[in-house]
Amino acid sequence: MPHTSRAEKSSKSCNEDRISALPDDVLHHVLGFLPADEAVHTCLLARRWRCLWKSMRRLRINEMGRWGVSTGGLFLIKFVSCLLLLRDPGSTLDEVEIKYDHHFEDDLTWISTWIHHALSCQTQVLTVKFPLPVYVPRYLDGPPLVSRYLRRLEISEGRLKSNFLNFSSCSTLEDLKIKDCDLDASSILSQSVKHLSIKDCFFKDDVRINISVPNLVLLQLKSCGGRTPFLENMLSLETAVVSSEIWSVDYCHKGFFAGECCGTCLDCCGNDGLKGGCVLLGGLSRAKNLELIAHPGMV
Amino acid sequence: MATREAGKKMIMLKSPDGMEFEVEEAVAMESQTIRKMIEDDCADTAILIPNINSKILSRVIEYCNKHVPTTGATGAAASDTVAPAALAEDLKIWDAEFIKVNRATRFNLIQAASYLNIKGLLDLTSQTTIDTISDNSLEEIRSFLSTKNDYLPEEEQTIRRENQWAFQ
Repeated sequence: MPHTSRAEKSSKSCNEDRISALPDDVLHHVLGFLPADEAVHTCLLARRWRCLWKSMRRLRINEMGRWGVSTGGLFLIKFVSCLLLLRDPGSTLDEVEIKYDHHFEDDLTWISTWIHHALSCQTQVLTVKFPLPVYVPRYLDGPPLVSRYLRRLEISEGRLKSNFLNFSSCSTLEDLKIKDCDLDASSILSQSVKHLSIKDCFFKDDVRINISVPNLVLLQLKSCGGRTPFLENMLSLETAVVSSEIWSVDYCHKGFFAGECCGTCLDCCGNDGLKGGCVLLGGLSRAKNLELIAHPGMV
Repeated sequence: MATREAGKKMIMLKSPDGMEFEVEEAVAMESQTIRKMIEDDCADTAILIPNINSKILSRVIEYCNKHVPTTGATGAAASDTVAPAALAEDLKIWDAEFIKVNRATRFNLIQAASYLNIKGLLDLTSQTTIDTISDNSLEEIRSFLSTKNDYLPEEEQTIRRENQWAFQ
């Protein structure tokens, strides 16, 4: 490997302030690796750092545990709102991660407003986790998300309404992960999503959710409860991993023997105008690799 | 000079201190900056990489050599290929060793990764820098980054007040 004496010399000059000499856009990138509160604190390092946080490319809003349970929600609302609104006008974002570890007791309008604002800043990767108290029936709703930049969306521990699951206006969204969520919705819509993962979620018991993601390539549908979703045709599907939990409401109770499918009841054939087609298998029929774990008589 | 060896197209990269590095085109194209030059047909002769000395450039090439997709594909699709878990783990271990360098070298690598637009290397160098300063006091961070506090005491108070929402 070639070396020069000049290179050796430069590598030893550790005492000069080399990081401050990096261009602004590099420092905007570097700052995005810090938790957002620590990134803002760098404004106190030196004049060079005063406003750098206002254009950082990634917001990591997490580790809220250290902010305290009792005041966490209020601090979070003030912090995230200031963090988003005080950014340099016109500066764009690459990634936003908002993960809250405690039950969010406050108005959910804040969360959807932050999400919409993050998307208006051209965020490409968005990760959201907001555990809601089980005793308060509140859902993330509001107008459908709109973005020409969002590529990946990961939502966990939320309760979501149909509007929130309508991604028709997110034309570049390819990777969608939903985990530990309560889906009070009649449909999940996207023309662009290629990878869809729904794990440990609960669908509604009374209305079957319709998953309409025609360009899907990879599907993971694991350990979900409630009524089994109806999968619309997915012509590009290559791999599907589908497993159901024992507490799913969808398995045949009318067969003569345990595990036998009667072939005619709503649980066997679906309802809601599905014309007797298979709830799961119709949509999975194009998959080249299929791993399906279900109860006898369920699909 | 662009040449062919064993069916693989080679690209010559030149550092400002006069060293020349012949690398496979696929390896060089890990850099989005070089990829664009090649795609725009600006890479017929040796490509001069300004501001990156031979020591840093050789480390960058070492990184690209390790991270170039092994499928042989050089198109954009290659970067979308999901690496098997074992390969990813191997790369992670390799990265951890690769980045055990002194501060000056790391800052030079950040600068090089930024100029050459190599996202993986920029993320690795950025993350390593941040890991060493996260959870430290301002004074410790200043000391680590060799940054001098040039605020007047009253200025520092004003800025702290302006950003009080971020302190608890």
